[in-house]
Amino acid sequence: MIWHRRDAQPTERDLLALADGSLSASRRTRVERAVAASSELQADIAAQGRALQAVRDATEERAPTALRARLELARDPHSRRQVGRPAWATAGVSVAALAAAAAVVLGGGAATSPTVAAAATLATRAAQAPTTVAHNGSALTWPRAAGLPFPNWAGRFGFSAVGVREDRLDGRLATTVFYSRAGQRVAYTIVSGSPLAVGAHTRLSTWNGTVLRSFPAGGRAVVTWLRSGHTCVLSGDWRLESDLLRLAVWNPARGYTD
Amino acid sequence: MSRRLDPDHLGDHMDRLYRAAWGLCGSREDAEDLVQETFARVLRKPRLLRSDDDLGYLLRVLRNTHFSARRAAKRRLRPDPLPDELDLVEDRSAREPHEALEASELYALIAALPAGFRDALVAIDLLGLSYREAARALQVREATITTRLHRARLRLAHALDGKEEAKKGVLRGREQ
Repeated sequence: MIWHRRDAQPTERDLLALADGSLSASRRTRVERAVAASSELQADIAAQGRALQAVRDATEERAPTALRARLELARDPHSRRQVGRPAWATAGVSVAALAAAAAVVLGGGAATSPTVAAAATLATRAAQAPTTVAHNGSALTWPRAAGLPFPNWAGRFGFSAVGVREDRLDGRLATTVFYSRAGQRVAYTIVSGSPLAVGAHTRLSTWNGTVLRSFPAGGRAVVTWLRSGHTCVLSGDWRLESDLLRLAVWNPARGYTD
Repeated sequence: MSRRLDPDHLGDHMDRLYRAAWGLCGSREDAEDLVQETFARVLRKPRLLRSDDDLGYLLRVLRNTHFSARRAAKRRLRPDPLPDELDLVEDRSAREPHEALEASELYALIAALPAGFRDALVAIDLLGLSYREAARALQVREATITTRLHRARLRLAHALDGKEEAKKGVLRGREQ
């Protein structure tokens, strides 16, 4: 359906422009007259209109906040500065806490990259598989082998494991299990290797010798501690901070007496 | 005269690139990964552009990254993502579930168009490039873009009509 005689029939470009409203006034009358005289052209314009309306409705979709946080981190993964933040940081939830990675080290171990903040962003990504599928898969293999099974909080706290994802942070394995309870979501990440650095502005708590650090990041609460020298990161909605601390120190065998 | 792409302003294009990525991939999760990988690729080294068309340049990188990822994906196993109702992030900017579902269906239909048609529609109707910018970004003639966009819109309309008919059929089936 291509028209080469510019003045006689509408061109394909004319039809596109008429449908999306960009046709110039000088061409519009002539093209509209041609369309009015042809049922085929009317059907063409109507079909384009349906497609365009659907596309326009969908262009209200915005990039998720979590993606913005990930991109800020990708832009400057080892940032230690608070100034000169990129413009997009102001467009979504502030993730300054994620970018600020001052050299405070968990448990006194050596400072290594990546940071706890980087690990916490994994919780904002989608799960790759349900835990039922991943139960015998590779994602949960290394934590089990390292004596770091993910806890079952369903009975005591009502948080059921619903999904799992596996990532690499600068070559380290990082496994995240997502838990859900009545619409509340928390994510538990274990990062292999030596302790990760955390930000300077963290709140310190201890429970029977376990040192926990908590800080806000991107509207979420993050709690981090060590298990057998590996870094654990638990995060959820900021209103769940006290719940996260309780979850972090709960031992399935001994409750809170560990 | 070339100029350097300003990393601090990449975020200005994020929403549009995200929608373009979704149109290419047909999946929201894949779109997020694609945008992240695209930005990581762009940020890896300074980029010199010969025009003011940042968005066209980013679309070109996005497409190249998409093709590379598809080639790599063919070589490895990959678990299915969780369904939408198990989205694990509270995102106050997110749309209502039914709206998100409709958007998912639309982007899946766009992604299913033949590659040339899909790319033209993504560049012009989703990303908002001019015909000239789209032609430069996709490295085809403007006339080709015109034809492909026209066919893409008609095919998309046809696919939407088919979806609508299928839904009506399901509703009729439930009523009987």
